[in-house]
Amino acid sequence: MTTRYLAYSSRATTAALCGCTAELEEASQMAGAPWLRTLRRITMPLLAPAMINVFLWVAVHAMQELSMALMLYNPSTVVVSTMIWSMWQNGRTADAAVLGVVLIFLSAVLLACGQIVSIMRRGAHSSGILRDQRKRFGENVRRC
Amino acid sequence: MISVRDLEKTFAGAKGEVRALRGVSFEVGKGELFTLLGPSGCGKTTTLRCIAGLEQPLSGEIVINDRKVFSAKRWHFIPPEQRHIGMVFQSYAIWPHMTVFQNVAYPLANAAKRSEINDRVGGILDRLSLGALADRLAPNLSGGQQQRVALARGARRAAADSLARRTVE
Repeated sequence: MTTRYLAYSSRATTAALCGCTAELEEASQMAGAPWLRTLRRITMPLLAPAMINVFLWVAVHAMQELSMALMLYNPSTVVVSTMIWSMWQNGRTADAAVLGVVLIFLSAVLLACGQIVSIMRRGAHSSGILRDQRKRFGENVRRC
Repeated sequence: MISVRDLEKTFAGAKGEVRALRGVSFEVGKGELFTLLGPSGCGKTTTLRCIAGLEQPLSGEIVINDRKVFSAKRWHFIPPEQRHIGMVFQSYAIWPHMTVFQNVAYPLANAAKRSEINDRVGGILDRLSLGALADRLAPNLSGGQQQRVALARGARRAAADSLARRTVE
Protein backbone atom coordinates (compact mmCIF):
# COMPACT_ATOMS: atom_id res chain seq x y z
CA MET A 1 0.00 0.00 0.00
CA THR A 2 2.88 2.28 0.83
CA THR A 3 4.42 1.39 -2.53
CA ARG A 4 1.30 2.45 -4.32
CA TYR A 5 1.48 5.96 -2.84
CA LEU A 6 5.24 6.17 -3.13
CA ALA A 7 4.98 8.31 -6.25
CA TYR A 8 2.87 10.96 -4.52
CA SER A 9 4.94 11.01 -1.35
CA SER A 10 8.24 11.19 -3.19
CA ARG A 11 6.99 14.13 -5.26
CA ALA A 12 5.87 15.96 -2.15
CA THR A 13 9.13 15.36 -0.28
CA THR A 14 11.18 16.33 -3.32
CA ALA A 15 9.51 19.71 -3.25
CA ALA A 16 10.50 20.10 0.39
CA LEU A 17 14.05 19.01 -0.36
CA CYS A 18 14.32 21.67 -3.06
CA GLY A 19 13.46 24.28 -0.45
CA CYS A 20 16.21 23.00 1.85
CA THR A 21 19.22 24.18 -0.15
CA ALA A 22 22.73 22.91 0.38
CA GLU A 23 23.86 26.37 1.50
CA LEU A 24 21.69 26.15 4.62
CA GLU A 25 23.53 23.00 5.67
CA GLU A 26 26.89 24.42 4.69
CA ALA A 27 26.17 27.49 6.80
CA SER A 28 25.66 25.14 9.73
CA GLN A 29 29.00 23.47 9.05
CA MET A 30 30.66 26.87 8.91
CA ALA A 31 29.10 27.60 12.29
CA GLY A 32 31.10 24.70 13.68
CA ALA A 33 28.33 22.11 13.83
CA PRO A 34 29.26 18.51 12.98
CA TRP A 35 26.95 16.65 10.61
CA LEU A 36 24.79 15.10 13.32
CA ARG A 37 23.97 18.49 14.82
CA THR A 38 23.36 19.88 11.34
CA LEU A 39 20.94 17.05 10.66
CA ARG A 40 19.14 17.48 13.97
CA ARG A 41 19.00 21.26 14.09
CA ILE A 42 18.79 22.31 10.42
CA THR A 43 17.80 19.53 8.04
CA MET A 44 15.18 17.72 10.10
CA PRO A 45 13.29 20.83 11.28
CA LEU A 46 13.15 22.10 7.69
CA LEU A 47 11.86 18.80 6.35
CA ALA A 48 9.61 17.85 9.26
CA PRO A 49 6.43 19.66 8.09
CA ALA A 50 6.54 17.96 4.69
CA MET A 51 7.34 14.59 6.26
CA ILE A 52 4.41 14.81 8.68
CA ASN A 53 1.99 15.93 6.00
CA VAL A 54 3.06 13.20 3.60
CA PHE A 55 2.79 10.61 6.35
CA LEU A 56 -0.77 11.70 7.15
CA TRP A 57 -1.75 11.88 3.49
CA VAL A 58 -0.49 8.37 2.77
CA ALA A 59 -1.95 6.98 6.01
CA VAL A 60 -5.42 8.39 5.34
CA HIS A 61 -5.44 7.20 1.74
CA ALA A 62 -4.00 3.76 2.48
CA MET A 63 -6.51 3.21 5.28
CA GLN A 64 -9.54 3.37 3.00
CA GLU A 65 -7.89 1.70 0.00
CA LEU A 66 -9.98 -1.21 -1.27
CA SER A 67 -9.22 -2.34 -4.82
CA MET A 68 -5.61 -3.33 -4.15
CA ALA A 69 -6.42 -4.85 -0.77
CA LEU A 70 -9.12 -6.98 -2.42
CA MET A 71 -6.65 -8.41 -4.91
CA LEU A 72 -4.09 -9.26 -2.25
CA TYR A 73 -5.99 -10.31 0.85
CA ASN A 74 -6.43 -13.82 2.19
CA PRO A 75 -8.26 -14.94 5.34
CA SER A 76 -5.25 -14.23 7.53
CA THR A 77 -4.61 -10.71 6.22
CA VAL A 78 -7.99 -9.05 6.46
CA VAL A 79 -7.98 -5.28 6.71
CA VAL A 80 -10.88 -3.00 7.59
CA SER A 81 -11.73 -2.09 4.01
CA THR A 82 -11.89 -5.74 2.86
CA MET A 83 -13.85 -6.62 6.00
CA ILE A 84 -16.45 -4.00 5.11
CA TRP A 85 -16.53 -5.42 1.61
CA SER A 86 -17.14 -9.01 2.73
CA MET A 87 -19.75 -7.89 5.27
CA TRP A 88 -21.56 -6.06 2.50
CA GLN A 89 -21.34 -9.15 0.27
CA ASN A 90 -22.80 -11.32 3.02
CA GLY A 91 -25.73 -8.98 3.56
CA ARG A 92 -24.52 -7.71 6.93
CA THR A 93 -25.11 -4.10 5.90
CA ALA A 94 -25.53 -2.80 9.43
CA ASP A 95 -22.13 -4.18 10.51
CA ALA A 96 -20.54 -2.77 7.37
CA ALA A 97 -22.02 0.63 8.12
CA VAL A 98 -20.66 0.59 11.68
CA LEU A 99 -17.16 -0.25 10.47
CA GLY A 100 -17.48 2.43 7.81
CA VAL A 101 -18.25 5.01 10.48
CA VAL A 102 -15.22 3.81 12.49
CA LEU A 103 -13.02 4.15 9.41
CA ILE A 104 -14.24 7.66 8.68
CA PHE A 105 -13.76 8.60 12.32
CA LEU A 106 -10.17 7.33 12.32
CA SER A 107 -9.22 9.20 9.19
CA ALA A 108 -10.94 12.33 10.52
CA VAL A 109 -8.84 12.08 13.69
CA LEU A 110 -5.66 11.73 11.64
CA LEU A 111 -6.56 14.71 9.45
CA ALA A 112 -7.47 16.76 12.51
CA CYS A 113 -4.04 15.98 13.97
CA GLY A 114 -2.45 17.26 10.78
CA GLN A 115 -4.53 20.42 10.90
CA ILE A 116 -3.66 21.06 14.54
CA VAL A 117 0.06 20.57 13.85
CA SER A 118 0.00 22.97 10.92
CA ILE A 119 -2.03 25.59 12.83
CA MET A 120 0.38 25.32 15.75
CA ARG A 121 3.36 25.80 13.44
CA ARG A 122 1.74 28.79 11.76
CA GLY A 123 0.93 30.19 15.19
CA ALA A 124 4.52 29.80 16.31
CA HIS A 125 5.68 31.60 13.18
CA SER A 126 3.35 34.57 13.38
CA SER A 127 3.37 35.19 17.12
CA GLY A 128 6.63 37.12 17.22
CA ILE A 129 4.92 39.82 19.26
CA LEU A 130 3.52 37.29 21.70
CA ARG A 131 6.92 35.76 22.19
CA ASP A 132 8.29 39.24 22.78
CA GLN A 133 6.16 39.46 25.88
CA ARG A 134 7.49 36.22 27.29
CA LYS A 135 10.83 36.22 28.99
CA ARG A 136 12.66 37.20 25.90
CA PHE A 137 16.17 35.85 25.96
CA GLY A 138 15.54 33.01 28.38
CA GLU A 139 12.98 31.58 26.01
CA ASN A 140 15.32 31.93 23.06
CA VAL A 141 18.25 30.21 24.64
CA ARG A 142 16.17 27.25 25.66
CA ARG A 143 15.31 26.82 22.02
CA CYS A 144 18.92 27.08 20.84
CA MET B 1 46.46 34.91 8.62
CA ILE B 2 45.50 32.93 5.56
CA SER B 3 47.98 31.55 3.09
CA VAL B 4 46.93 29.77 -0.09
CA ARG B 5 49.50 28.06 -2.30
CA ASP B 6 49.14 26.55 -5.78
CA LEU B 7 45.47 25.76 -5.43
CA GLU B 8 44.02 23.63 -8.22
CA LYS B 9 40.42 22.60 -8.58
CA THR B 10 38.52 20.98 -11.41
CA PHE B 11 34.84 20.24 -11.79
CA ALA B 12 33.37 17.50 -13.93
CA GLY B 13 31.28 19.22 -16.58
CA ALA B 14 29.11 17.94 -19.43
CA LYS B 15 31.93 18.54 -21.93
CA GLY B 16 34.78 17.10 -19.93
CA GLU B 17 36.60 18.73 -17.05
CA VAL B 18 36.31 22.39 -16.18
CA ARG B 19 39.47 23.79 -14.63
CA ALA B 20 38.12 26.26 -12.10
CA LEU B 21 41.37 27.11 -10.29
CA ARG B 22 44.84 26.91 -11.82
CA GLY B 23 47.63 27.47 -9.33
CA VAL B 24 46.03 30.17 -7.19
CA SER B 25 48.40 31.57 -4.56
CA PHE B 26 48.03 34.51 -2.21
CA GLU B 27 48.54 35.54 1.37
CA VAL B 28 46.32 37.62 3.63
CA GLY B 29 47.85 39.09 6.75
CA LYS B 30 46.15 39.51 10.12
CA GLY B 31 43.69 42.41 10.12
CA GLU B 32 44.09 42.86 6.42
CA LEU B 33 41.10 43.42 4.17
CA PHE B 34 41.44 41.34 1.03
CA THR B 35 39.20 41.46 -2.02
CA LEU B 36 38.99 38.92 -4.83
CA LEU B 37 37.78 40.74 -7.91
CA GLY B 38 36.96 39.27 -11.29
CA PRO B 39 34.26 38.46 -13.82
CA SER B 40 31.55 35.87 -13.13
CA GLY B 41 32.79 32.31 -13.19
CA CYS B 42 36.46 33.13 -12.73
CA GLY B 43 36.73 31.14 -9.51
CA LYS B 44 36.29 33.66 -6.69
CA THR B 45 33.60 31.59 -5.00
CA THR B 46 35.47 28.34 -5.59
CA THR B 47 38.58 29.78 -3.95
CA LEU B 48 36.59 30.88 -0.90
CA ARG B 49 34.80 27.54 -0.69
CA CYS B 50 38.16 25.77 -0.76
CA ILE B 51 39.45 27.94 2.09
CA ALA B 52 36.24 27.29 4.02
CA GLY B 53 36.55 23.55 3.43
CA LEU B 54 33.30 23.20 1.49
CA GLU B 55 35.24 22.05 -1.59
CA GLN B 56 38.20 19.71 -1.73
CA PRO B 57 40.92 21.09 -4.01
CA LEU B 58 42.87 18.82 -6.32
CA SER B 59 46.24 20.06 -5.19
CA GLY B 60 47.85 22.86 -3.23
CA GLU B 61 48.00 23.89 0.39
CA ILE B 62 45.95 26.15 2.68
CA VAL B 63 47.20 27.44 6.01
CA ILE B 64 44.97 29.41 8.39
CA ASN B 65 46.59 31.04 11.43
CA ASP B 66 49.67 28.78 11.20
CA ARG B 67 47.46 25.72 11.11
CA LYS B 68 47.56 23.62 8.00
CA VAL B 69 43.93 22.96 7.10
CA PHE B 70 44.53 21.45 3.69
CA SER B 71 47.49 19.88 2.00
CA ALA B 72 47.30 17.73 -1.09
CA LYS B 73 50.72 16.10 -0.70
CA ARG B 74 50.17 13.91 2.31
CA TRP B 75 46.38 14.10 2.12
CA HIS B 76 45.40 16.37 4.96
CA PHE B 77 41.91 17.84 5.13
CA ILE B 78 40.33 19.49 8.14
CA PRO B 79 36.52 19.57 7.80
CA PRO B 80 34.83 23.00 7.66
CA GLU B 81 33.35 22.78 11.15
CA GLN B 82 36.84 22.52 12.65
CA ARG B 83 38.39 25.40 10.73
CA HIS B 84 36.95 28.14 12.97
CA ILE B 85 36.13 30.63 10.28
CA GLY B 86 33.02 32.66 9.64
CA MET B 87 31.42 32.93 6.27
CA VAL B 88 28.70 35.04 4.71
CA PHE B 89 27.01 33.20 1.89
CA GLN B 90 25.92 34.79 -1.35
CA SER B 91 22.31 33.91 -0.60
CA TYR B 92 22.93 34.72 3.11
CA ALA B 93 21.71 31.18 3.91
CA ILE B 94 19.82 32.28 7.00
CA TRP B 95 17.93 29.39 8.57
CA PRO B 96 14.25 30.16 7.93
CA HIS B 97 12.89 28.15 10.88
CA MET B 98 14.86 30.12 13.46
CA THR B 99 14.60 33.63 14.85
CA VAL B 100 17.31 36.23 14.34
CA PHE B 101 18.58 35.54 17.86
CA GLN B 102 18.74 31.79 17.29
CA ASN B 103 20.51 32.25 13.97
CA VAL B 104 23.23 34.37 15.53
CA ALA B 105 23.48 32.21 18.67
CA TYR B 106 23.80 28.93 16.77
CA PRO B 107 27.60 29.00 16.29
CA LEU B 108 28.01 29.65 20.04
CA ALA B 109 25.60 27.09 21.35
CA ASN B 110 28.08 24.28 22.01
CA ALA B 111 30.92 26.48 23.17
CA ALA B 112 29.70 29.04 25.65
CA LYS B 113 27.49 29.24 28.73
CA ARG B 114 23.93 30.46 28.36
CA SER B 115 24.33 33.78 30.13
CA GLU B 116 27.41 34.42 28.04
CA ILE B 117 25.52 33.61 24.83
CA ASN B 118 22.83 36.12 25.80
CA ASP B 119 25.37 38.87 26.40
CA ARG B 120 27.45 38.27 23.32
CA VAL B 121 24.54 37.80 20.91
CA GLY B 122 22.69 40.76 22.43
CA GLY B 123 25.83 42.85 22.06
CA ILE B 124 26.44 42.08 18.44
CA LEU B 125 22.75 42.44 17.53
CA ASP B 126 22.70 45.89 19.11
CA ARG B 127 25.88 46.86 17.32
CA LEU B 128 24.25 46.01 13.98
CA SER B 129 20.96 47.65 15.08
CA LEU B 130 19.17 44.32 14.99
CA GLY B 131 18.29 44.26 18.69
CA ALA B 132 14.63 45.03 18.10
CA LEU B 133 14.38 42.16 15.60
CA ALA B 134 15.86 39.46 17.84
CA ASP B 135 12.58 37.52 17.97
CA ARG B 136 11.67 37.96 14.33
CA LEU B 137 11.75 34.85 12.17
CA ALA B 138 14.40 35.04 9.49
CA PRO B 139 12.09 35.02 6.42
CA ASN B 140 10.26 38.10 7.77
CA LEU B 141 13.30 40.31 7.29
CA SER B 142 14.21 42.71 4.53
CA GLY B 143 17.19 41.98 2.28
CA GLY B 144 19.49 44.36 4.11
CA GLN B 145 18.45 43.01 7.49
CA GLN B 146 19.11 39.44 6.31
CA GLN B 147 22.54 40.53 5.19
CA ARG B 148 23.29 41.95 8.62
CA VAL B 149 22.09 38.77 10.30
CA ALA B 150 24.39 36.72 8.07
CA LEU B 151 27.26 39.04 8.96
CA ALA B 152 26.46 38.81 12.68
CA ARG B 153 26.39 35.03 12.46
CA GLY B 154 29.68 34.90 10.56
CA ALA B 155 31.36 37.20 13.06
CA ARG B 156 30.37 35.01 15.98
CA ARG B 157 33.36 32.70 15.88
CA ALA B 158 35.77 34.04 18.44
CA ALA B 159 39.08 33.44 16.67
CA ALA B 160 37.52 34.09 13.35
CA ASP B 161 38.79 35.25 10.09
CA SER B 162 35.66 36.17 8.27
CA LEU B 163 35.25 35.23 4.67
CA ALA B 164 32.75 37.74 3.45
CA ARG B 165 31.49 36.90 0.07
CA ARG B 166 29.35 39.30 -1.82
CA THR B 167 29.19 39.68 -5.52
CA VAL B 168 28.42 43.04 -7.03
CA GLU B 169 26.92 42.59 -10.40
